[in-house]
Amino acid sequence: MTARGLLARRGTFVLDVARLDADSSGTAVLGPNGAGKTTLLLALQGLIPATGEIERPARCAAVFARPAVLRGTALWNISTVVRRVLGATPADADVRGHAMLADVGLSDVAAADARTLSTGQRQRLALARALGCEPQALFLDEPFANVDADGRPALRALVRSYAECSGCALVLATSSLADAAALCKGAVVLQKGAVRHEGAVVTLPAADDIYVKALFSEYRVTS
Amino acid sequence: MPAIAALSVAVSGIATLLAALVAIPGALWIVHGRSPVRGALMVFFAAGLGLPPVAVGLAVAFALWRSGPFGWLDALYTPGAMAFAQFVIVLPLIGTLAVVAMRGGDTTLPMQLAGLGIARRHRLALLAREVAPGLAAATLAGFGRALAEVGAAQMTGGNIEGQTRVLTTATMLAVGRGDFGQAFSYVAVLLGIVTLATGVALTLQRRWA
Amino acid sequence: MPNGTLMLHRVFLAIVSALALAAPATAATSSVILATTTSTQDTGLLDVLVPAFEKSSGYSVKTIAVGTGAALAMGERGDADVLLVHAPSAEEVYMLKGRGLSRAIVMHNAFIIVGPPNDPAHVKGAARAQDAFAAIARAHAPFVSRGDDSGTNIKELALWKIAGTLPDAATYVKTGSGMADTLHVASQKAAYTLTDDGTYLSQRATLALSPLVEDAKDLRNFYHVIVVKPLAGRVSNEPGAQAFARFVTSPEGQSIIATYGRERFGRPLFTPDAGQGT
Repeated sequence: MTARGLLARRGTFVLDVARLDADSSGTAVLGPNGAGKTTLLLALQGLIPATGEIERPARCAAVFARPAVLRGTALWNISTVVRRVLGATPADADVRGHAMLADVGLSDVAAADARTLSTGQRQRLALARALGCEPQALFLDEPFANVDADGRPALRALVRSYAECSGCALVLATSSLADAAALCKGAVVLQKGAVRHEGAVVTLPAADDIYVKALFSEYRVTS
Repeated sequence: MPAIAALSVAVSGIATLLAALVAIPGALWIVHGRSPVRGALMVFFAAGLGLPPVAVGLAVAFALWRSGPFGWLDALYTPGAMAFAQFVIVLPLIGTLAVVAMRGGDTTLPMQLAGLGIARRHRLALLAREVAPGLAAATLAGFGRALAEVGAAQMTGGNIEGQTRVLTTATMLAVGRGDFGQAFSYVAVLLGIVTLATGVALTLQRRWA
Repeated sequence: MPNGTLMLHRVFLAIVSALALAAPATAATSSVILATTTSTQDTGLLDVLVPAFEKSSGYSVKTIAVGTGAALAMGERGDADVLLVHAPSAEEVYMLKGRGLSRAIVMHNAFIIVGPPNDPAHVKGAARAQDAFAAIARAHAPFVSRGDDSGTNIKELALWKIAGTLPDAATYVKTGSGMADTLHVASQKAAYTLTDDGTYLSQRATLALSPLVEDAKDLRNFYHVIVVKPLAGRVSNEPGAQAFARFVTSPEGQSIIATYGRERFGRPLFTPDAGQGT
């Protein structure tokens, strides 16, 4: 997906991004809190009013930082979305739901009321829900913030393999360079709503820009 | 007794249904609309909650007396007048409870559903499903209040045998006559109806979940 | 504002307007509004008399039982077509105001004075109620009043006036309630009270009161039927009201009145008086 001349306003915050491209190799959106990462993702999806040229595929899915769940079981949360987005039959949607739950490690809570799940479990559920829709573009906003460190590698691998198999465009907003490095090749660093730096993720810690250097100087690659 | 009970349920049921038909869209407007006038409606709902039912009954009777501004309707001492008074009484209750039901829950849910690529009409259906239990509870509370109302029912209905006698006014008449046995049977039926309605609402809720 | 909400509001407004406009603006109606008193309704006579009238005349009657004051006020405002009340002095004032087309006597029952069985004021057997009231005041005995401007209450206050004495303020209680409730209060307080015999008979089993003065001449409670004079431009049903007044004073109506009470109380509650002047 591509965006040109993106201008969006959220309250008093103004986002101004001249260009952004993303494909299955992944584009990370980095920056401190309040830099506009979430706003950028919302604008790219068309969920908030924005001007500019945005090209995105027909089927997009998003994982929000604080996922909302529907009244019902974890399985139902996935299957009902799959039914409505893909037009699947209830039986097929259930099969897909079980498969996705297994992929994210939530099989044992498939029948639990989604509202009783912990934040980390909700994030897994939201990921399963998004992937289950077979999106052609995936927008992830701090998707693993509440998942414990042990669980993150498996989820990262899941997203990576999906992007590679399906060729879906991947946009990841995160403050974790580890997540960015694992999932994306390119990166965009935001400062107060504007793009400060662009480049490959791996080059960021050694970048010339002092702002970027300050953000990632503490970074150590951990897997 | 069966006729009196049936009339109670019919009058209060219709009043509650109409009140819900007005209050729930009103609550929707308060929570999701954009006009600055919304605040006025919320104040109206909240104020109406504290309004004594007997005051509503008096106002409606006063308006519908032949000597009153709407006397030409010849609508006093009819089930319709009773239903109207109960409608006014119950409307603010359902309205405020509906607003509470709609404000509860994640306010970003509509956006998150849109983010998954769900079409608008499906989104609305899912969102409606989320608030349905809260709205059912609001309507049930309204029904209970309408059913239990006696002062306004007496003033607007007149407790006429075979025409406007309902469980509450019949109870008062029985007590006034010292016929306590009869009064207790009316009250027992009233309680039975409320219990039944609550049971039905809870069962529906479980089926929807 | 979501489109659906606006639509709903428009539909609702349309329904209300349609109802308001469609209502007939005629002055006549098929229902007759009968304003009467709660004690009259409590005797149960109307449960027999009114259906009989409806059957023979085809009119539908709405019996509204309120206090005497309220019934007369309804007549004054034109909110009722016909009145059946039992407060002669108040009725005369009403007729002087010109709000009645006719007033005819229908029947009478009796007030009785009841009190604690041991009768501390020694009123039993008094020939006149006013003497009994004087005795109660002298003995400083507790008295319970309805205090609600009902026919019974008006009679009670008139008796105190005629007796030329006031009851002991410390033990004079006003209940503001119907007759049955008032009797129960009197029973609890072992006090005297004035009541119609019909209500007393129906409550007797649960009361600790005895009838003490029963046949006094000044305790007769006379009922009149008043046809309300309709007010111009208002809904009314004068033909129906006239028909009702005729019915209750007719031989058929009078015979219903004469026999009512036998089954329930063992004796009739009322004595028919139609055709015997006021």
